[in-house]
Amino acid sequence: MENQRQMIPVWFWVGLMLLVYGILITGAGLLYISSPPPNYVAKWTNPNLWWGGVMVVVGVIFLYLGRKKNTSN
Amino acid sequence: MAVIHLGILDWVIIVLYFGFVIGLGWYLKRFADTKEDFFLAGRKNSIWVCSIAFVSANLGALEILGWTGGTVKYGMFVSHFYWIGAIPAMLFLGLYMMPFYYSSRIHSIPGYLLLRFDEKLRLLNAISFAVMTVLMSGINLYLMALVFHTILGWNWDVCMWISAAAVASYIALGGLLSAILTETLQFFLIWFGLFLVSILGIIDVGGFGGLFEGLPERMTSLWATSGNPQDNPMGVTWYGIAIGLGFVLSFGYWTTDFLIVQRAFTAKNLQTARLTPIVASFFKMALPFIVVVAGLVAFKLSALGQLNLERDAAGNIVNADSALPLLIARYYPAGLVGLGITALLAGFMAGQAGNTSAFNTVFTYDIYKAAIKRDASDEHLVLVGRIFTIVGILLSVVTAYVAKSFPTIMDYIQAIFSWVNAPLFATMLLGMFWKRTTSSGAFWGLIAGMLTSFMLFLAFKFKWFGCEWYYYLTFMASSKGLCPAVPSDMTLNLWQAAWAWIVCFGLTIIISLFTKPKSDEELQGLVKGLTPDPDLEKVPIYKRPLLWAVVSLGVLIFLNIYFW
Repeated sequence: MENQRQMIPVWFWVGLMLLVYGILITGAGLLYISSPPPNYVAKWTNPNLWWGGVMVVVGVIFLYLGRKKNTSN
Repeated sequence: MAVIHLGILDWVIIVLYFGFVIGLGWYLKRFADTKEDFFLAGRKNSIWVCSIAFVSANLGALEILGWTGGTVKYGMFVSHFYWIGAIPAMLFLGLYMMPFYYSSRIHSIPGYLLLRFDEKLRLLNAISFAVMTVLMSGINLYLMALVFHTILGWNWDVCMWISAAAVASYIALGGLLSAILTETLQFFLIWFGLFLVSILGIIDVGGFGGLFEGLPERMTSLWATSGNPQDNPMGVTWYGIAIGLGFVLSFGYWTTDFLIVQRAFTAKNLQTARLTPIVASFFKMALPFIVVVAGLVAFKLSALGQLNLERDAAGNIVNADSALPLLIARYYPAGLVGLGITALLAGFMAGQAGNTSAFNTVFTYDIYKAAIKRDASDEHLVLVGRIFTIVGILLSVVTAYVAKSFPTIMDYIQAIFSWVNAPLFATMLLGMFWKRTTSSGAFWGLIAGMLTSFMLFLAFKFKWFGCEWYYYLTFMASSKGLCPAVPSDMTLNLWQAAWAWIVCFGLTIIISLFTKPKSDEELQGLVKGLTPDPDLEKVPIYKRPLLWAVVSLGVLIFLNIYFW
């Protein structure tokens, strides 16, 4: 039971994953401002930049939600 | 030839995902030492985790790739599989069936069959489920390797063994808890990895107005062209959809398939278990906004000559399943490509994990403990569960190699699997709601239903009937003038399931009327009328299953009318 009380909620892992991916993808988006990669149709929107940003924000929210250790997920 | 080429950042994202799930498995091992933890994830999960896992267990990458391609062929009709073909059954499960499942504290669906009927029905269902789960898992593995070989040029064997080893490691370590938590990760990955395809696609074709402009009504309507099978690309009628898909196939799958229902068994209480499929129904209804929208975008771009879907000499699209990878290649730069591919990989692995966790539970409880070692201790059962996780995965790999050598065998395996559930739904329905149903009636009814589905499959496939019988058996006699053309495969699938259900339902009733039922005392908590209704007095109205089921039904009706 002691172990169960100390389990990190799944939302923490979701948040961590989205945050790490979001940072990597946003970083790529920042690089693409100066040198956009060729051969993809949506380059005018730089989706890495804003979609990566959305992932960072959502990731932080989930990290906040998962900050407490619970007995249940 | 590979459709998508990966950069270093894409590889980093993919490798990170493997690190995440295997690391999570190691972390969760310490929480999966007892049988309740390993096989039922401790029965302590919240409504959000349960409902996300519930819908994710069905959300494999094959489903996403397949139905995006399906939309290119069938248009909006694909939405029926997400809406009428899922939602009513999910609501029915939550409102009416879950109290019997959850309250009887069973570990598996065969476990319910043991309590309600007898050992032989439990073993029949356990063995058929275990065999079919392994076979389906193998097919998934084979198709995953095939897809990644085709779109990325990856080595077939390496792809298959690495993903199989990853799934085996985290399920063997953390059991169902690992499966459920990785399914939760996968759910978010799929939305973040693939929903952007639809968004960019909509922008690309000029908004929703631009998407629908110029497309034929048969591609953009749900019911308007279902009066005559020749008017819609799926070749089905509205009553075929409503009865075959909306009732038999969908209820058979969503209410009796242990792989799915197992997620609700892990809920922390009955109230949460009942809400699980009801909340999941909202997630399910949203999925066409990835799958169907992307499919329609691909169809539109292909019609405009801007997307290179493979076509035969007559101009028909022959490999629609490549639609989503082609859209990823069109819209995603490096980084996002890695995310999109990881979402597909996660979907495949979660599907594999779902099959494996369901297999190890049914094998351990309903075959090993029931027939081999009845006095097994908790520790022993967990060890057996871990060992048979590995064994199940290895058998899947063998199946995948068999499927690679004999691709046509997949048709048979998939056919048997999908039709096992249709007659089982008749057995469950009668078992839960008619206390007069007897063990003999249920057993022989189920055998007859399963045989009916398989024999009809063979009869249709090898043309044992004259052409006109295809139309009689699918209640489309007025269309028999179309012979020698036969109804579409989709129509035949729907009605095969319906016939299997009818035979099982009818025979179970007839045999039950002539055999001795169990006493009321034996059926307490297992049958409607002998089970107290869930006590909802202290539950606030906004947390009650019925309220959310009504809201879900309202959304379903709205969507069907809006896209009529």
